[in-house]
Amino acid sequence: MKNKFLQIILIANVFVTLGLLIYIINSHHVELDLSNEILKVKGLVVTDSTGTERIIIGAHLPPAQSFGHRFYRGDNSGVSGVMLYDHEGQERGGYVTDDSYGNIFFTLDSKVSQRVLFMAEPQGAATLKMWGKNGNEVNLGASDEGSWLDVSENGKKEKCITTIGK
Amino acid sequence: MYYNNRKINLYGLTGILCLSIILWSCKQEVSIKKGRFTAVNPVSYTDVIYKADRDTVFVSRFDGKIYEVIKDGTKKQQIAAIDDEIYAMAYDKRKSRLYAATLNSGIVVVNTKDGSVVKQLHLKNTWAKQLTYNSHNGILATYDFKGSHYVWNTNEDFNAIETPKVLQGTRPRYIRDNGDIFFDGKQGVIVWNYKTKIIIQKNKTSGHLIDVDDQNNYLMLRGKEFSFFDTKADSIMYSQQHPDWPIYVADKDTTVKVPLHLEIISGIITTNTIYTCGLDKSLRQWDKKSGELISTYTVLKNTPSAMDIAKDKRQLVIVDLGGNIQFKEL
Repeated sequence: MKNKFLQIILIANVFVTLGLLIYIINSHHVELDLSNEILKVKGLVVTDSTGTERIIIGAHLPPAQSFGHRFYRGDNSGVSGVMLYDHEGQERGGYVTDDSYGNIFFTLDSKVSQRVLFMAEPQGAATLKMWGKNGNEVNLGASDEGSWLDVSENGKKEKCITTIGK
Repeated sequence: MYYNNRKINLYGLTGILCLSIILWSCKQEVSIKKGRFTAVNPVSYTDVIYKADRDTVFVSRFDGKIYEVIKDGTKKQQIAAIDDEIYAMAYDKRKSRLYAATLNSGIVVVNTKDGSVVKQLHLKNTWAKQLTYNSHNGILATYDFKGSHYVWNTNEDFNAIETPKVLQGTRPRYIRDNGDIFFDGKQGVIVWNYKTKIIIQKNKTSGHLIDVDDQNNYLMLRGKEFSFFDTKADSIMYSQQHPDWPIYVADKDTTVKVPLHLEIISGIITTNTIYTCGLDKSLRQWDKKSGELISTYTVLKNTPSAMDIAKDKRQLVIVDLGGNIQFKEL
């Protein structure tokens, strides 16, 4: 009776062990399907085939990358959103909100500095600015108070059309 | 133990039991590799510095790795891996130490023999993008993005050297063997000696000081323009821009010259020559006396990030953001 019981346990054990072995081998590769899930993340870095970052979605975004270093954006200048980087890893533009004023803006940068700013302020004013060095600038905007278009060359206003105060 | 005159192996039974317990307790754990927004780029070189008198250099990358590269060598040897971005380096040959400016770790002192971090010099605010070092007197200096500067004596256990108030907000850019430290700022260039604690010289300049020649003349950089400042005359001798942006057209195997001036990124001044490299991916050689352009070398494939010159001034090395390194015999 005792021996029979032991035999049953032995056979059961063999089956359980074999089953566990098969389970472990089969579950070695885990495929996660998150297509129906909501992901909560702090950031996402998209890299190209060389491993260089090309897109970062984050809160907050890292300091801007220049020629072999990063530069400081300034105090209270934390921004969150989407940032785009060129094939050399340099920041070339973004679509972000800032923490200090509550602006939302879209920027386009040259290899050296920012050149286009498209922005909406929390109180409602919207601005599109494009500029080069030496004070060449086009500034187009509208708010509840009116609208304006300024064109400057070498820092001097060449044309200024505004409906504010009229 | 016997069953039907057959021996039951108790050891075997125990073994199977143990195996099944072990397997049962084997829980599969799925872990996600921790990512971050910085120290990602494994390609771009951030700085280059000569290790030997010529042909052998150290290069650093955003991913925190430092390599030793030998000219014409097939392999680069990893010297150290810091868990931070590296922006600038200085080398102390006698002590086999590298000083590396990083994003979050301040200035890191690395033993080049085993790659270990032997010391960290903390900065008050933000981070540094440039290091200035003189191997003769062991003075190491830098500045952060919030306008604080730091001067350490590496020969005296990295003792911090106090600077006078007049130098507040200035950036140390160059150190002479005699202890003269060249700072630049809004007021121009100020030369202060850390031994005598005396201000030696003041010059009203504009732009950033990037190099100093044997006669204490300055190479200044301002966007698309560099200037040669004669300190005896206390004035700019000439300013120049990189003319004719050279663009290589691979289909036609030819270089087209576009009449545009792009930003100058770095420069080096020697006894008779000035070398500059810029966003146009060219290296330019200028006559120091006249400011005349002598040669244009289109050696770079990507945007240059740093350059250094050999001790004998007969070889130059440039690194770029595409992970390329070029040695140029002068």
